[in-house]
Formats: sequence, C-alpha cells, structure tokens
Amino acid sequence: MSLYADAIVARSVGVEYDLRLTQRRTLRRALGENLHPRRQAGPSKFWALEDVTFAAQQGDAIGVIGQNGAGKSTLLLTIAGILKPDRGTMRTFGRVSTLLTLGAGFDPDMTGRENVFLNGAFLGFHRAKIEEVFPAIVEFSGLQAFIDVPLRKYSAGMRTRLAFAIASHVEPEVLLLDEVLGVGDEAFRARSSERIFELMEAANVIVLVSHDLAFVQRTCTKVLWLHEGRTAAFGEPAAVVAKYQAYAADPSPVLRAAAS
Amino acid sequence: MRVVASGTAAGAATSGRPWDGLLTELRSVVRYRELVRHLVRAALAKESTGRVFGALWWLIDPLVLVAVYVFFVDVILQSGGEDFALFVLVGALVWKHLSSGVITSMTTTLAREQAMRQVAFPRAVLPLSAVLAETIHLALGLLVYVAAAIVFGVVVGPAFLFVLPLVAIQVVLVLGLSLALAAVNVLYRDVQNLTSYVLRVGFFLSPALYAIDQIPESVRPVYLLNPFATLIPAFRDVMLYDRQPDWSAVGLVGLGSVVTLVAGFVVFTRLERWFAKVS
Repeated sequence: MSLYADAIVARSVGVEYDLRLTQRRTLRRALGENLHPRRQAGPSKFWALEDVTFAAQQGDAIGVIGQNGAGKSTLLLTIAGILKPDRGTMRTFGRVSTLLTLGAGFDPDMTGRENVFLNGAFLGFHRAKIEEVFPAIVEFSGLQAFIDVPLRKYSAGMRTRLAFAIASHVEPEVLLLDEVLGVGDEAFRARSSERIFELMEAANVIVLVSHDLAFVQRTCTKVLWLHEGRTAAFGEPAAVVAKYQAYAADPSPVLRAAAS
Repeated sequence: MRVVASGTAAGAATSGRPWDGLLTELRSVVRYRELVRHLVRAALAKESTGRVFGALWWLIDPLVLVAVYVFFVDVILQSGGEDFALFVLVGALVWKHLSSGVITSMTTTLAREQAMRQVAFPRAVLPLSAVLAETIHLALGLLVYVAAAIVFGVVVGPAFLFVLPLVAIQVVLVLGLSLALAAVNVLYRDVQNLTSYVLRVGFFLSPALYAIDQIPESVRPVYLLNPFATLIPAFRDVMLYDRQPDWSAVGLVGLGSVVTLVAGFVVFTRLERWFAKVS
C-alpha cells in the first residue's frame, strides 16, 4: 500500500469547452466572427464539468454513473490529466492508465516492436521498464511472427491486440475504465476481460464508468453520480445507486429545477 | 510514488506565481526525454523508409537552390563573386533549418492530435523533437558544406568551430518560433499556410542569396531587425571567410533568441490546455 492515503482529489472541478476555439479552425472564420459579432449563434462556451468534488483513497473503486452527457468521460479524461481543469483542482497520485488510450501515438511506418517502445514512451515509461515487459506483451498479443513488420501492414484487429497488450502490461496504480471493453475476436475478448479483472485487482485505485448499475454496486466501494457536470451524489454505493434509480424512474422537480 | 497527472486552474489559483506552470511543464518535458528521443528517431526513420535517398532529400532542397542560383547569378548575370556556390549554400542551409523546423513542428503537432486526446504527455515534446530532427539534418548539411569547401579549395579554418554557438542560437530561436506557431496552428489551421508565405518572403528579405552590403545604408537599421540578417552573415564569417563574426550583434540576436524561446514556451503552455478539446 502506498505512502499517500489520497489517490485522487477533485475540488470543484470545472472543464470548459470554448466552441469558438475548438470548432472553428481557421483564422478567416475567427476574424469574420469578430468583425460581425451578430453572426454568432448561441453561446460559445459551455462547461462539460461544472462543479465536481470527490476524493478517492488508496484501495477505492469508484463507480461513476449518470445519464449520457453528464460528463462521465470528461471526468475520466481530467483524472488522467489529458484535460486540465479550467476551474478548481484535480490531483491524481500514482501512475494512471486508461484502457481507452489504446495505441496512443502508434506510428504506421514503424514496426510493431518499435511501436511498443514508442507507445510506452508516450505513456511515460522508461525503456528499461518496457524491455522488461516486452516478451509478455508480445506473447499476450499473439503477434510473435509479425512483431518486426511495419504497423501499416497490420489489420485493425492486430493493431488493437497489440495496443491492448501494451496497455494491460504497464500495471497502472490508478486504473480508469470507460464502459465494458470488447476488443478482438472471441478468444482474445475472453483473455482481455480476464486481464482487465486482473488489472482491477492489481490497481490501487479504480475509476469505472458504467451504465450497469448492478455491476457498479457489486464492484465499487463508492459511487459518484454525475448530473449535468455536477456531483449529484457521492458515497455508499447502495445509497447513491438507489437515489439515481429513484431519479431515473421519476426525475424529481427539485433536480429538474436545479438542472435548468 | 509521484504525481503523474495534476492540474490546477489557471487564473486565480496560480495568479501569484506565473512561473510555476512553466517550471512544471519544463520538468515534465525533461521527464519525457525518452519520448523525445523516440520521436526524433521516428521523424528521421520516416524519410528513409521506402525511399532510396533517405535523409538526402532534405539536402537536395538547398542543393537545388544553390545550383539554380549559381546558374542564374554566376553564369547568366556573371555577378556572383568568389565562391558563390558556397556563399549561397550557407544561406540555404540556415534558412532550410528555420523553414523546415517551423513547418514540421506544425505538421507533426497536428499529426499527433489523436495521441493528445488519449494520453497526458507534455505536448511541447512534439515541436521540440521536430526541431531536433531538423538540427540533425543541419549537422549533415554542415558536413556536406565541408566536403564541398574542400572540393572548391576553400580553407575550412579554426574559426569554423564558432559554428557551434551560432547553431545553438539558431536552434533556440527556431524552437521558440516553432512552439508558438505550432500551438496557434492547432487552433487555427490556416496559420500554417500563412507561415509558409511569410517564410517565402522572409527568405528574400534575408541575406541568403546576396551579401548584406548590397542593402542600402538607409534601409539597414530596419533590415537588421530580422535576426537572420545577422545570423546568416555570421555563419558565412566562420564557415567561408575563416574569421570572427560581429560578436556584439550575434550576442544581441542570441539574447533575442532566448527571449523568443521563453515567449514561445509561454504561448505554448497557455494554449496547450485547449489541444485535447479541439474536435
């Protein structure tokens, strides 16, 4: 167990999207808009996360539930450090891995072997660490015969297998999971879901986004219910799931008022 | 254990110490030096796969330029002066490092958009590795220059060693420009088009094809605002004429380069937070 009790500390985290910056991609349009401000349609900014506060200690498994568009995926990206909060603070202690970052930085012109090291470097691992797990990665992927072939010649399935093999062998301390993963063929899928459970057991902290409420209640130590970018409830799984279910069955006027 | 991902809102929370963000970013670039090495190697490997000439393609650009200008100025206009080919080669190499450095920084940063949405690595490693790869090209170009100088019977003297501080200044300057432009280009893609035109005009406003004493005295103060109006003649001093450059002018450009690098880094770290949100 680690030195730090806290694994993730989120304080009033807000993440803002500026549509003018992130959707219009040419200077001409940006300038045109400034010259003709009336052409602007609708608000240009919105907060994907408005005010999220929670803390995870070592050993916690946090389930994140909520409706589509509540900000669940944005929250995972923020915990992973891919997005930085525009309001509040988010601190994550330990090596983070999201199994959604499959094959980040893969380069089609380089061989499978080179890509294992490149992907490892993107994830922040030193060469020695990758060299240590390299044989296990190759074996798990089942790509021994193709490891020195440029990635360009891989099929989509082969790429995914290699990517998953890397992601699942770097043993994260903080594991972020978005929904259930189904990669590869039948046999590989069985092997990969088995591996995910192994990783979940090995990780110090898990944050899991899922719509499967029974699964969340069974596996998680705490549940975070996000509603329109805000913490609607956080705590005891049974209690939070019950509140969420009650809301889903009959969206209470109180919450609806708070939402609008 | 270490803090891997940690983010604080800009503005209020860090208003007292604006340098904190920069230092954090700088530290994480250093921590990801392995990634820089991989990206430089990937950039260099890219040009040699499936291509017979590999890295020579980078050199062909300045060499063709030299050939065209030698033909045009030396043969047709007969006004080239002594060692005109080497004279142009120095200017062409220095300019190629600038233009390729800036442009590949922009393109490789955009090309890694997917990775930027997937992993939390310091994004500054992208332009950094592009500029480093271009610097390796420049080093190759300098070797070609030495070979050409020997062929043309030009003495490469001890002053040639001063090429090292000049390259250092050049790299700092190009890196600063690349950081700023690569960041802005992620948000406004036509900055790249604009930049290539500015570079083309800049090439003729720099003494790459002519000597600086051909610029009228009256315009010179303005002309010298271009740092390459100092750098290219300085490279020629040490490479071609085996003499000391004007160190006071070079020192001033060096200072300006450091300021450019800091400013470029500030711009980059400011805009970086939007990269993963661009869709």
